[in-house]
Amino acid sequence: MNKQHITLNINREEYDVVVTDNELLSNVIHDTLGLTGTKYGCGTGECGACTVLVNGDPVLACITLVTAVAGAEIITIEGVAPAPGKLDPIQDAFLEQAAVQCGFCTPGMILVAKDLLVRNPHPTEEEIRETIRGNICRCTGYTSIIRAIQQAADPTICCQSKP
Amino acid sequence: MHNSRIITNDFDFFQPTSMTELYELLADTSVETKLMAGGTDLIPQMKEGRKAPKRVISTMKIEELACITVQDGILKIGAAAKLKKVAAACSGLPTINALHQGVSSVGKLQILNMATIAGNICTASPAADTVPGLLTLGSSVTLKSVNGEREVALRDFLAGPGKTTIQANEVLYCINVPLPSENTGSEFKKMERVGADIAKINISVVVQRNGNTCESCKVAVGSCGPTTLLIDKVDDILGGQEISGPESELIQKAAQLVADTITPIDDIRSTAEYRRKVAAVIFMDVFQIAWVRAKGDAA
Repeated sequence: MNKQHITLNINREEYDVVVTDNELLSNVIHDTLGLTGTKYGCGTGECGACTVLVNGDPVLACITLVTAVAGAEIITIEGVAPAPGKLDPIQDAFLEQAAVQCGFCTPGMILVAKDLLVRNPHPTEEEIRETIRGNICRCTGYTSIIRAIQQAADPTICCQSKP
Repeated sequence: MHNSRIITNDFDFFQPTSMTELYELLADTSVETKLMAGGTDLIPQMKEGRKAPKRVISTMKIEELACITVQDGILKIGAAAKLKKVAAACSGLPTINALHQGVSSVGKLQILNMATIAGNICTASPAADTVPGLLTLGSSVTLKSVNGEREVALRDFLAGPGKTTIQANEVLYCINVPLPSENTGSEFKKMERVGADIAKINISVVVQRNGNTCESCKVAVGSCGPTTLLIDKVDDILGGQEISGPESELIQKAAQLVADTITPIDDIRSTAEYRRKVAAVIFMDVFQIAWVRAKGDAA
């Protein structure tokens, strides 16, 4: 099997990488490029931990061949914030609502929330639940995750986790 | 124990951008080849070592395969159209609601962004969620190869678990769904443990109605046989008959026929006994919803 040279556009930066045809996007992002925010969970497309945005759409990096997304615009959790030192409103809301426990599902949760709020800036709770259906949180902190996404959509929702 | 982090199998990956290029690749049948659409099924199978092709050919970079059009009352869904796009195209067409529901229930958001209806058909899982709706709507598939094209009824295309009648040099080009008349109602239901699971049983009913008379009733049940089963005999019971109520004798007779016709097995998701019992019950529920919809209500 041949190695080939491809260019990946990740978080608005271009990366030249040498890959084989059977390499997966998740491993190139995490291991080759060292962007460790993208998590490897189940490996079979069940858990959503490896979610990244490809041309704006959430997809599962652990079942995506890397050469299939050469040239596409890829956003990982590292690329969600608008600038270094700043956070996206969704990330702020996750912090405020204490929606992070072990943190393993958080990158995937934030990326599907990002896609949801771009498509639908004022989702109902039902729509939020439907959106995160494919992202498993084994700390089972779903309630605070849903509240965080609600807060990101509507910052007037008061933080209920602080004393 | 397999390592699902990587694909250990070596293969060459091709991403043709035109049908001509694809036919050229398919002409070489000397190497074990798999056609891949979204890859949501094939890649996990390769990771688990259940499939080890030497060549993988993607259909996703061929633009004409991503088209969804309506031509002469037929919805044509290109083989590389992603499920999210298919669901959006179906959502404006109330008579094919069952297909919309089936497509939407294949998986979560991420899967809908990756997977295709052609992939779902060609994987030929008896539990495929898009298939009951397609079968009850009388769909066909267009297969193309360098030698030409042929159209095959979907029920003849599906040959068994993981088996279709596609030839090695052929590619599924599009799925043709005839749009039914306005007096048609359809409904799909899937029994699952939690959302995004594979179906324990899934069912689609398409009813054509004239006042209180059932003109025709098509029923397909998945996860209860080697392929999704289209149960024609229900139409012999209900076709041309007046429907007096949701639990009338006639409906109960049809429900019993559905339960008796399916050939379920015991597996990790359910027992055969459960599937038979549930089939009769959900047939009655789903028929009733389709029946009310056929009148034009959005019940």
